[in-house]
Amino acid sequence: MESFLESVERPAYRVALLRVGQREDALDVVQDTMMRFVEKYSHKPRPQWKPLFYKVLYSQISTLRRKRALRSRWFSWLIGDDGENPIEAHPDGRAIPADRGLQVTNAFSALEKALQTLSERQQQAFLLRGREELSVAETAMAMQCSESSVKTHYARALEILREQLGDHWP
Amino acid sequence: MNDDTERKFLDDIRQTLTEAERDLDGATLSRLRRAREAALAKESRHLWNRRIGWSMVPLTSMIVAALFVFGRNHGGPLLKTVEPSDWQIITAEESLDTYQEDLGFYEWLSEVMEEGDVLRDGNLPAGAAGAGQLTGSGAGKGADAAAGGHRIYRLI
Repeated sequence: MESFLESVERPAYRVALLRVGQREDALDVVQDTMMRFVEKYSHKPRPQWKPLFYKVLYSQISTLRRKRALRSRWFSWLIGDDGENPIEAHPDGRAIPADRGLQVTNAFSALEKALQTLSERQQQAFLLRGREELSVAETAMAMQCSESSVKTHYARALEILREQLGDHWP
Repeated sequence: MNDDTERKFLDDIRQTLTEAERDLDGATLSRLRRAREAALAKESRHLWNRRIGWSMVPLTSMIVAALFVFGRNHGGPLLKTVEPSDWQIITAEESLDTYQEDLGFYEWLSEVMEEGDVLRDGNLPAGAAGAGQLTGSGAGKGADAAAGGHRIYRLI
């Protein structure tokens, strides 16, 4: 288990950062994912660990985004039409723009921007199939969708990335 | 996009992502390591609890089996038979006369069988003349019938 978690922690952090946009939140998501994965799936066969880990990761990301949306709605209800938005007035000092907090190359920067233009499902399908090299079946398990959906999302993601990055990338 | 082009494109993306992961700052790597260690500690506790739980199964089964066997063999404190007390009999809803009527019948019957007499037109055989005396006479004690000096044998 230790070697497995060590192998996925960095890619998982990258995925989380891409989706949530803030370093601290991304780290919290990865930690919660590891705890939950160990609790629920450590007894499963080893070949299933990677798709199950990413299934938990995307679930945690989704939960965080929903909480944020709820908090945002709650705050806007509190503020109403008067006064300033406390969130905008006091921005989170921990938030680090993706292209500054990380030592990235131009290629990665371009790739990251291109990935952000994908829809959530396209991004998931691409990262799981393209980056983690999971099979279609494993990707479907992680994304909790059908194999045909995986193929559709992946094909479309590849097409968009090709358009975004062009022929001279990297 | 043909297969070779696609393969190269994907290889480039993987390489770019891998390099970016290698370039993570120390603070982030330290946090990730702590998260991993916390998850592994939780897994150890989980496994330990599961082992303890499973090891209790044979012990628990033995205790239950022992109690069962002990209870059957000794019938002591584990198996308490409750016999109706005299008070329960007296205060039972059924009338004592009911029992005594039945007893009277059986005692009469035993007399008939003993004598081998046949009832004629509902007349009682001679030996059963004292059947009425049997009621309320302390049923079950097996007393001699007054009439005819015939002994009444208890069927019960």
